[in-house]
Amino acid sequence: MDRKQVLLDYVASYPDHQLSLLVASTESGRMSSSTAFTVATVDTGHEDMIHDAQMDFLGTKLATCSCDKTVRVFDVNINHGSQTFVAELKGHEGPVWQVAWAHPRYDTLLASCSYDRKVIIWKETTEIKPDGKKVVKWDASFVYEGHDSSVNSVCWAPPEWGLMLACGSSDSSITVLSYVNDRWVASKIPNAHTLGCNAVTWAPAQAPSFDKTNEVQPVKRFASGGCDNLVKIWREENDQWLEEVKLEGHSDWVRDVAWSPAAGLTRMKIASSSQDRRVIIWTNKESDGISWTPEPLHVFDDVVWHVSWNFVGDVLAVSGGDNQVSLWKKRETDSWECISDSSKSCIQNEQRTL
Amino acid sequence: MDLQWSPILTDQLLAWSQEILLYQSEDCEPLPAKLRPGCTRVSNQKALTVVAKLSDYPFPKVIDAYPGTDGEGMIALGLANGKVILSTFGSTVVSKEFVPKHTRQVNSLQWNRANPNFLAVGLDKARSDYAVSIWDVTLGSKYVNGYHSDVLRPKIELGISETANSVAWVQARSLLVGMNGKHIKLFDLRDSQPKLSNTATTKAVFGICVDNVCNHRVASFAENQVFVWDTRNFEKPFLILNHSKHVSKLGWCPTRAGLLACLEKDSSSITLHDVNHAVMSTEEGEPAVLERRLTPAYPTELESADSTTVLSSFAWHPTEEHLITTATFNGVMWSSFVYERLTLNWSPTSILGWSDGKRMINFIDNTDELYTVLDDISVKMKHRAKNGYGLKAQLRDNGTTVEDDEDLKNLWTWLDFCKTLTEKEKNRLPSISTVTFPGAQTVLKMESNGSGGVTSTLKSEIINNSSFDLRNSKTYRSDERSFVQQLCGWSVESIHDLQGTPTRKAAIALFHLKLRLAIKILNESDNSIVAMAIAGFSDDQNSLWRELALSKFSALSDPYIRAIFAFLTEADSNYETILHESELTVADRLGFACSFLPDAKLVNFVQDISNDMIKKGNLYGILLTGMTPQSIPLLQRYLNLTADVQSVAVLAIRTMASDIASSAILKLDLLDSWKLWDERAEFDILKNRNNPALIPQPEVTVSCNFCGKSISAPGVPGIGRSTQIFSRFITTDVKLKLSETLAALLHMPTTHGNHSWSGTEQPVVDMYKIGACPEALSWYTWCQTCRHGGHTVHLQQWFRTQAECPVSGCTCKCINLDRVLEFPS
Repeated sequence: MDRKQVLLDYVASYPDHQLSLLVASTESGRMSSSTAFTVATVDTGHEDMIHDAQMDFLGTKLATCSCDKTVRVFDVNINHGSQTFVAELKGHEGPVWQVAWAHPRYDTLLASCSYDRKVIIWKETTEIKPDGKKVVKWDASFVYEGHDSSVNSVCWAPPEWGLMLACGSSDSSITVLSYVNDRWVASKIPNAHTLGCNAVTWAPAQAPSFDKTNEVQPVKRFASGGCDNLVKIWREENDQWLEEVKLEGHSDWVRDVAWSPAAGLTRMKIASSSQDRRVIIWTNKESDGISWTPEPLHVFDDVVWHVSWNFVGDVLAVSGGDNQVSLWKKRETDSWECISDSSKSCIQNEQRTL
Repeated sequence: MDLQWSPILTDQLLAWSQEILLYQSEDCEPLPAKLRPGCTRVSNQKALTVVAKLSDYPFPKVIDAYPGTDGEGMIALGLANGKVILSTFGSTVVSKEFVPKHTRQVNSLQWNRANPNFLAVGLDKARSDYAVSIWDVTLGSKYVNGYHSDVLRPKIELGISETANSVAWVQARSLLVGMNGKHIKLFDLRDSQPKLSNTATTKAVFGICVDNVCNHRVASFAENQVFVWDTRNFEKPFLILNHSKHVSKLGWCPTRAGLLACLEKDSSSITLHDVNHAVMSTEEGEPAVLERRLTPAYPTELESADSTTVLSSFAWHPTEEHLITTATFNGVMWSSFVYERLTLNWSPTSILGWSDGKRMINFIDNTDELYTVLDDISVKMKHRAKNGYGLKAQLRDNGTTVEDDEDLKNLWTWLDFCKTLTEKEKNRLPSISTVTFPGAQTVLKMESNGSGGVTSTLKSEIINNSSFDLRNSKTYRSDERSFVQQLCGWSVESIHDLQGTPTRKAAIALFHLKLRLAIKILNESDNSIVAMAIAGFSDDQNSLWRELALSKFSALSDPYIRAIFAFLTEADSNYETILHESELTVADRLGFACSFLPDAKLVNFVQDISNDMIKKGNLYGILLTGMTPQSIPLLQRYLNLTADVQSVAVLAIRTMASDIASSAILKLDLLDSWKLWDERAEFDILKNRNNPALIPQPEVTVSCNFCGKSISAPGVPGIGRSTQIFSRFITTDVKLKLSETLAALLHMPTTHGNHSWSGTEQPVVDMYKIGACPEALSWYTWCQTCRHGGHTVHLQQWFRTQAECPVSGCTCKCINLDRVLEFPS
């Protein structure tokens, strides 16, 4: 793993926000007023475009998936800057779009979804050889082939719900796989998003309420975004998934949705990003799951691919078609502010060395 | 102006309009640095310099650079008169000419990339002549200067009396030709006789190009439509992409499959179609083609082009990922990157990762400066957790782990103070007898009356002071009030010991009606002017002093001096100015209110200020609410504002009943994620301390068989084993009991450095010291071979005289096997 210093240059690039940091140079020392931060780089060894990279709950394992049809697993020690290749998981017959780690309380499980219409759940097993050596093995423990088109997104439910996986597909349906009585049961939502579902994200299990007086019964919920330009929220009722609410606000495909983690703020929040170049933060002020207030974060210059919350849900990372990662934080003034943009120059630096 | 990157010398760019220029691409100083003359900037880090020029053939129709490794910088030019010229940029122009029988325009030409000897040329129609000629450039004498040998014949000719609108090679031996504006024909040239292997009827015969990454994918255009074909299923187009304007050029990205760049006429941007995912199930719904637009981002320093300048052409770089260079009609070139979908994930352990190109992933981990910039509370929380935040026995000590947050630090100090004070006073004050951390609301016996208001049974005595001639010298006193004042840190006896600025001390002294002391304090500090001003105090309603003080004090910067003047000039005993002076701390305002407000007003004031604090999520509001159920809305608000779930959880666990604290489970999950298992375990113990029902009953116990004490679950009696089993032990002074317990069958961590600390009392035996760690004596240890064990001290005693394992029937020579356990005697 290489590390390089990347400088943040304070540039007021978004006039509607107070401060934004832009990566300006990879050469150190050029600008004394800049904040340097260290980027660690992992060479995944994939032969084609990486589509997803996920760290597990403990931050010790990294899974990547790529257009080259493989999933690769690494042991990572980010603090020591080391990564060890563990396994290449072969089984998909098309580009693998996304991977997701299950909570460690359920063994070491990794879900992957691909263009080949399959969802594979991989399981790590450790074998102890007679000579005492540990051999880590990865096997497909379950393959779900119930979709008619590319499966674009997988997301594990909060561990409180048991082993439960939501899968969004281009065939416009969403499947929720749950592990009941030692087998996987699929519950399908047909026609969830016309033209296809691009992303799924689960609501935290526990409404993060400290105030017990208005505590609500925990509800299983997840949100999805699709090619019908909508974000939809689904709720389980009597073992059925019902469309609880439909959030209209985007004017083009919704590429990603991210439900804010529970650890921090009490209001339920969802970030959605779209090909219409916008990111919208949906806030549920009443915590009823029904009335959501949209708040546009920013209009970007290009399609916005991904959004991701930090662990307490107060900073949102956004990746866009201009190859920029920007970080947004809500200040107490209740408006969103861009904290930093990054990566553009890293890429250019990489390419210069080609 | 048109352009092409050299396929072999990938840092060379061809550009042509009137003349043909060869540019060399090189690194340059990033913007805004100026470049030396002759250099043209094409991106932030790249610049072009002209290395060669060819002006013999003005306005060539088409150009293709030679893709072989042997012909240094050779290019093929198609001219309007049908001639095809091979030329290089050398000092002596080495050229070869291919001349058709009939003069007509060259529409298209392309080198065969797999077999660079072959050059396909597509020409306009000529009666009884072929439209496509394929030349083998190795035939004929290579260096013909000024003389065009008509011995040169094309190797293959196709399409007599037809028009070739465009030609394109498919791998080594197939050629696609757009013909007569009607068909695209695929010729198989493997045999000596060319064979027509496929035909598609379409008007889209122009600009045929083959995706080099995925050879069966072909694009062509006509008017404002772009057709994408699959040569394996050539009858109908695989996709039709509609454009608003006429299309002028197409180009597949050479480094990535399925990315088609498309230039429209009179357009300042390039449209990019990602057709990769449009393959399967096109029957229902529209094919998923992702369309993006790329507008060159010219720097503002570049005056000759902006984002509205019309583009004339573009060229993909053959090897560099996603690099596309565009040109305008007036010759401005600029390189842009077409970026891929950038994956992005923020892990639960606060590591931000995103993809960087094809195979790299970048990470920023939580130790980085970035998190300081972000003020990321989770990283702060982790740091605090590692320092034992919330686990310190003394509440006050928890404040030291949050040195970076003054409010939290003060809160912990106050909680400690509050607890001690309450402990001391609770027998005197009935209102706090059952509360550990009372706030002003509790102390003042405030109770909600159900309709939003509050009532209180507070009764205070009125004292008329005559210490100095202040008119409104009426103060109120009760045990409750003085207790609240103590909570506020006010103390009559030791004003000098108060914290804060001298002006605060002076103000508090004054609020205790000690004007002289206040003046003295001010005089001793550097506020003697203020002291003088106050010394002139006159309570006469019409005095000059009062008039001046009233008109000027609000402009003073020190809030305490303002408060002093406000107090001295107060006319109606409402003290609104002081009570709502937001720069005074809540504690001082509350302390003041306790002295000068009558019961009803005091209660209302406390209620108002509590509501205000709750609304602001201000932790100083705990002074008013205490750590009681009233503080929950405040903590909730604080949590909403700061996301500091840790502090809230820790406060709840340390100060509230366990049912309220149960939401702290969230925080415990955080600890799990950070692998702070020990802290997590300690919190579990703390959390369940008040609720025995929540303490899980041990399923497995491990007990020392020497003393019978359970070491796995304190408080649970050890397994009462009959001593008969241990009949082989005859030692009388210590009742030795040791056998396999349930847990001893398990693989357990090794004893070295991984002792499980039982938490039992210190052993009485002190004659066997293990280094500097007497605690180790009460640790549990066991033999790695037979897995029998007990408290270290007992095992030491046993093995001092014995060699074999103390368990009946076990002949393991534990002490000899485990040298580490050989204790010095």
